[in-house]
Amino acid sequence: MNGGTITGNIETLFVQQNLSFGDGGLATFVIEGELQGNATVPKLLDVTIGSLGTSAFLNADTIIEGGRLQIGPQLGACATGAPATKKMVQIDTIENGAALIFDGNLSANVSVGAITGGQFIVEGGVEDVQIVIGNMSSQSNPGGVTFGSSASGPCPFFGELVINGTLPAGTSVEFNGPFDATASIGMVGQSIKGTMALKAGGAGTIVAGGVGLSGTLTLAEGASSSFSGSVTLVGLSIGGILETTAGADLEGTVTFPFSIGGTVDVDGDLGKNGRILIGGDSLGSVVVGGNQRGSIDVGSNIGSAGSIAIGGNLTGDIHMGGDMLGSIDVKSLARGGRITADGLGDGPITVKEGTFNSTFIHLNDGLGAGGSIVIDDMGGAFDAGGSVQIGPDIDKYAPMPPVVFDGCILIKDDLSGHIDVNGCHAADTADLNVCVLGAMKGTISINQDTCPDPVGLDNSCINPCP
Amino acid sequence: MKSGIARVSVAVGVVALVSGSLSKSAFGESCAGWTPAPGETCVCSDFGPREVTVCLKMDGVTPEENFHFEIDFDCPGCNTAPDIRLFAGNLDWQVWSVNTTTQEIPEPPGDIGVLDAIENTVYGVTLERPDGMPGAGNVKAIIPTSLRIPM
Repeated sequence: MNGGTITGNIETLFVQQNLSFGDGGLATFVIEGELQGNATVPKLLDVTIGSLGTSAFLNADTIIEGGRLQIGPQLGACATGAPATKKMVQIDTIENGAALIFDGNLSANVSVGAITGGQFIVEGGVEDVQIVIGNMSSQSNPGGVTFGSSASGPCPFFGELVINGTLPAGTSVEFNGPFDATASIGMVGQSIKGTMALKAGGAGTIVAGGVGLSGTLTLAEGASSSFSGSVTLVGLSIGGILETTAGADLEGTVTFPFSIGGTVDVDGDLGKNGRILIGGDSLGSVVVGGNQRGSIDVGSNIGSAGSIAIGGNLTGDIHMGGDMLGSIDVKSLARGGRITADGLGDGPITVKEGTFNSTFIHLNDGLGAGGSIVIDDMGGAFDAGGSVQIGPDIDKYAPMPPVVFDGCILIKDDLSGHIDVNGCHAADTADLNVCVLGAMKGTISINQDTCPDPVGLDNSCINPCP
Repeated sequence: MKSGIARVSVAVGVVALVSGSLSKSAFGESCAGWTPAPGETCVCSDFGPREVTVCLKMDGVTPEENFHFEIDFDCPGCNTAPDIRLFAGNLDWQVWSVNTTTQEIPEPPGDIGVLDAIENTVYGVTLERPDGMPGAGNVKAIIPTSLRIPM
């Protein structure tokens, strides 16, 4: 077809391209009604289809540069998660500046081989369908995918998005409506180096090879939104960011099976069910802007350049399976809050305000020369009311275990809780530097019975923690 | 509407002709719905639940029924949605169907059954009236590779 308009429906359409046309044989036509059966069109320039019938199968080679394939109908109500029909739209390539646009809800399975500087846009919601995209790239125009962008209000995503290639720098995938609990994103073995954003948060499942340098995965935006689903990323490279923004909370689970070097930034709270699991080392930074009620679990070490910063109260857990070689910074340890390391603490742990009773800071292997614990760092007259334990638990039937205490502890106001140092100090020569600037209302215990070289306590505060 | 801006060829394999319909009129002899302009050929059905007029034109010559094209009003459903087959390879076929039963002005688009073409040559087809209005209502199929059984 050269062009023209069909005001009603069409069952079958088969068009062959012939390059003998001066313009390369590009399709331009309008079907105002419904495509009810199979349509095969090679190169599209400007094609509009009113709607897809329940058995429609549209197969197109390319939406050529600057071209457009627009499929209706216009959005009525947002998608409700209805199961997929037999509808199928298959496009090989969306070229630079071209666009595949669904005006309303998407209820067809869609396969796009490549988006090379083009756009794939669903104005409405996405039903329980599968969308498969091969590769994405930017040319003079950015490559992008946008869901639920209707001006009348963002619509939810119930489908499955599979991207079989990397999401390169400059490309984007955007979900404007909620990401439903049944929805999923699969990028197995593929990295996000561009941006992927769940603007309204949601739940669902995300699996990807990782977030690479310059890449950003945003799980929720805005104080009224949160993400409560599950994210598994094989890696988080230096320069890569996983985040919630503008006060959005993380209520779900983010799992990194191995080490990370990038940034995890939760601008709101890490909720009660929020979990950040890092299987290996944390060499980047983990930031929670609000309160942390959930858990951050680092399977191995926090590296020397690694950090965890909690802007609000910590009532959940921060746990390291190895050493804490970087830094941990929290506003306060409220009831139930815990910072624990199975290894050595060889970096600063700073509590800006106080620690409440029932809180716990525990460094199992001890406090290295670079290690420090400072409570009430801001000098706001907050007590250290919780427990601090350096060294392992004591088993009275076993030999006293070794412990390291080459660092320091500084309480800038009253100590109303307890500090226990357990173990034998084989290599320590100086007395233990524990300084309490306020009143001593609690206890400091050095448990080293039967140790051959017991050490003393230096609470002179002559050389307090820096 | 981007008529003439972009084109797609259609090509078909081996086909055989079917016999023409007897229940029709050509060149506007009794086609109340559309009076063809120079260079246009119109064919209409004059029975059935409604009257459909199909018009065609092409580049360089006034198309002649059963030479450059054929229209079948006899096949099942074709009295209201006739099948159209193009014989002559031409880059600028223009085809439109008009429903004349409602007596509305302008006439609403009529339906088309199967639009196809024969021979392995190049066709460019625009479904559009000369005044730019839509060329068809419902269309059963545009299948240039369809094969018909000889009758």
